[in-house]
Amino acid sequence: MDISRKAGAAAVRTAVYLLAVLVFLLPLVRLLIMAVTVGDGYGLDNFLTLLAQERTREAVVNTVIISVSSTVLAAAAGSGLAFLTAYCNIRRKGLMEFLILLPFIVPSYIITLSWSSFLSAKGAFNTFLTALGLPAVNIYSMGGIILVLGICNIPIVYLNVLHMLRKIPRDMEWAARSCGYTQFQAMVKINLVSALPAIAAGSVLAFLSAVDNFSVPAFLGISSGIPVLSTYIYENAIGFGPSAFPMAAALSLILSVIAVAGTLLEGFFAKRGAGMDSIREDYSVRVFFKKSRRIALEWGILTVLLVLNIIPMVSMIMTSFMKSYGLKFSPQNLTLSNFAFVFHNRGVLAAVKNSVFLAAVTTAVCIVAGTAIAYAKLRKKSRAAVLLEKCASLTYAIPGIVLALAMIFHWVEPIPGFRPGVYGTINILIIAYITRYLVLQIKGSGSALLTVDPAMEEACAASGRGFLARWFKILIPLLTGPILSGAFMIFVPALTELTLSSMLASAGTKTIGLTIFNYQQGGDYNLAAAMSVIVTILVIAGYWLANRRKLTSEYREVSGYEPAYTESNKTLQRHPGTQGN
Amino acid sequence: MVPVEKRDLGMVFQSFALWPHMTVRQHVEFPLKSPRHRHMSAADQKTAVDQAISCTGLMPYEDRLPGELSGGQRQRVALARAIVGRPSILLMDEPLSALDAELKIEMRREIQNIHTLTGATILYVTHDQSEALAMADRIIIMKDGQIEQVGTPREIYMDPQTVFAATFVSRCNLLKGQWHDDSFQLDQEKILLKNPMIPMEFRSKGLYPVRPEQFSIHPEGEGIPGVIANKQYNGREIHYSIQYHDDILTVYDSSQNEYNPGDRISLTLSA
Repeated sequence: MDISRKAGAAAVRTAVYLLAVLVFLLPLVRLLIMAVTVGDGYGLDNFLTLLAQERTREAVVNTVIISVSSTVLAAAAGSGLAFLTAYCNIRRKGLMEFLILLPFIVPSYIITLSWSSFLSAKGAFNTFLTALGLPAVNIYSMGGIILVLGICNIPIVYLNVLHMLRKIPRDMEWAARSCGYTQFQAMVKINLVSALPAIAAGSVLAFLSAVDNFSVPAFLGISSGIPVLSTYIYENAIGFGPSAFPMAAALSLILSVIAVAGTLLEGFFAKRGAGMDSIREDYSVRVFFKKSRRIALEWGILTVLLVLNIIPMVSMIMTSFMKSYGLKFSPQNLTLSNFAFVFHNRGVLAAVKNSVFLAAVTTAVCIVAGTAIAYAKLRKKSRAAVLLEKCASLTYAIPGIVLALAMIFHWVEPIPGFRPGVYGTINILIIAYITRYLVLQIKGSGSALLTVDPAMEEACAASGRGFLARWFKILIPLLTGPILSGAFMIFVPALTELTLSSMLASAGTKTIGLTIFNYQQGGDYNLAAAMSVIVTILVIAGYWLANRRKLTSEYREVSGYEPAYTESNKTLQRHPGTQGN
Repeated sequence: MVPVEKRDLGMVFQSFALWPHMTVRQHVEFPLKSPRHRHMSAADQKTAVDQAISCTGLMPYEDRLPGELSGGQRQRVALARAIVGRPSILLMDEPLSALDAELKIEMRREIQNIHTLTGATILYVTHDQSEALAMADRIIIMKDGQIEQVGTPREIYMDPQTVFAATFVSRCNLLKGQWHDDSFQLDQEKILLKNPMIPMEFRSKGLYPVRPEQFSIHPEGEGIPGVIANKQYNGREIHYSIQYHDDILTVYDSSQNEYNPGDRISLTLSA
């Protein structure tokens, strides 16, 4: 029996290694080879050709400018908000946190749509500006892309910094006070300095997310001719077909180099802040404002959040009820036909069906595989599992548009002579989603497992119970909650995904994101808005259902305020990465 | 209320509260760079820092970060930081509770040295009774925010004023009986104990406090009868638990005569 068990373990190990290489590593290798393929030989000619083109250089420069500027915006706003909610005696923290995290759950193309409808040329805001004699704001510009990307990335910085700030022991600032420093000086000299690694790590993540982001520049930049690397790759691959693949691959390589360098940098900062990992978070109020100032601050923050998140949304909702784009908001221009169309159109319904199916399958596979890999890594110290996790985090770190391209190259013929024929079917999307999101579940299940003392399993074994009892009586009851709330953070992005599907979907396998994208690109803004409204409502409702206990516990905020988000956000806070939309 | 930073105090925290991004020297310099010491010249500051570092024995570790120090060394950094500004009062909040037993004894001496060196008043909070008895000039025993007793360690130990003070500082047996003026009648025995020194609280509760070493054990005969229930050899003395009716009495006896569990003995008060 012992021998067969060993043979079984060896077989499993080999399978895991094969999986790691075949599914996660080979696509990237294919991409690399494609990038240096010139005619029948290999060389760096693709890069030379690309860099000789004015538009490539423009795309690189734009990518850098947009990413850096939006990161500065997200870092400043995210850190400031994190300081206020972590330390100050302001109230309504639950509501604030919900508003701050809104761009985290609503896909970025919907945020973009809401802003473009808020700042549309004939919209209320611009009419107001021109009436004052001021120039109108054009959202279809570098500034617009920077603004929207910055807003989308505020939660990434916010979550990183927030948890760090709460972990800084109060003793440390009290020690500074007893050394003769004022509260303000102690905050700057001790707390700010201690939080710097988290601010840096959060900023790098925001930068990566900005580099990776496809939907914002696609919605705002394609029509106005502002190329960034992600949209430029898309245009190349979609516009010129297979003949342009080597060029697109070479571009992808440039983008991936930026992304992977950023990931390494983030790892460096995260390690510096890791000393605080085991410290419990302290929710007590540290900075007390006088009542008048506190109330002013509260309403100030809420107003800013309202302007950033709610007003554009409202404007989008208004657009969704409009007969055609650009009309005045008055009763005779209102209609329900946009929603009627969305609910009855066969293409839309098929897209919803596809997206729900994709999200469900991806989440289910990720839960099972991710938990198994995390278990093998943590409990069995399996090297195969560690390798698989590394490979999976690589496919998560590289930009979505690059991964999509790699999927095309690889899955047409994964091993010579074997053509599974997945390209053009929904299977390629399932594979791509799992490839992209699996690492999230490995990390999520891993941190859930860390809370279960191995002695609990040993106690189960010592009680004479076997494998089944260990999983079904001990591990699953303990892990279900945290794993499911972690999986929510796979389900929602998968449901609303755009980047991967924009490259991989074919006529019959369109997704929700792609449908909205197509409407927007085709000028059907009202339909895009109507569909976005429905998606937003569903996503927020889902979030509320998953978090309602925490959201309604607001009354506790005076004595030891409880955060309004779940374990899942904490998982993401540890590995917030890019969101894929 | 005067804000903390305006008060002339130094503080040592239970968790040490060292800043992970500062070296040992930067920690010790930190208080002197505060507005509280702005009148101090740079040269004076340097001497003060050097002195604080050398008297805590941290010279070799000046440039290390807290993460590179052992528990005892971290404690010393916290001490050096607290004393460098020569505050007139030092607050110590259970400063030794994070250290292991061996190091605790060593650091007790260290803190006593610093006390004689700086001459500052030290307000030292602890749950460790032996630490309090060993180090303090004066002990304040507190319970639920109320002061139970104030006194020198000897007064506290030999003459506890309340039941809590008696049982909290070291072990104390409480015999049950009736008080008549200055004499105590044990409930179960025809024995009278005379002691005019026992405070009112014990009298009103019908209790008589006896420290474990105040009993002496004899073979069965005159005195309080009992049965040895448990015996623990401790080297210099033997700790006995003695069954006396429904109570267990603790007795520390010299290890010259040994009794074994089950032996019937009688107890007398030695002092």
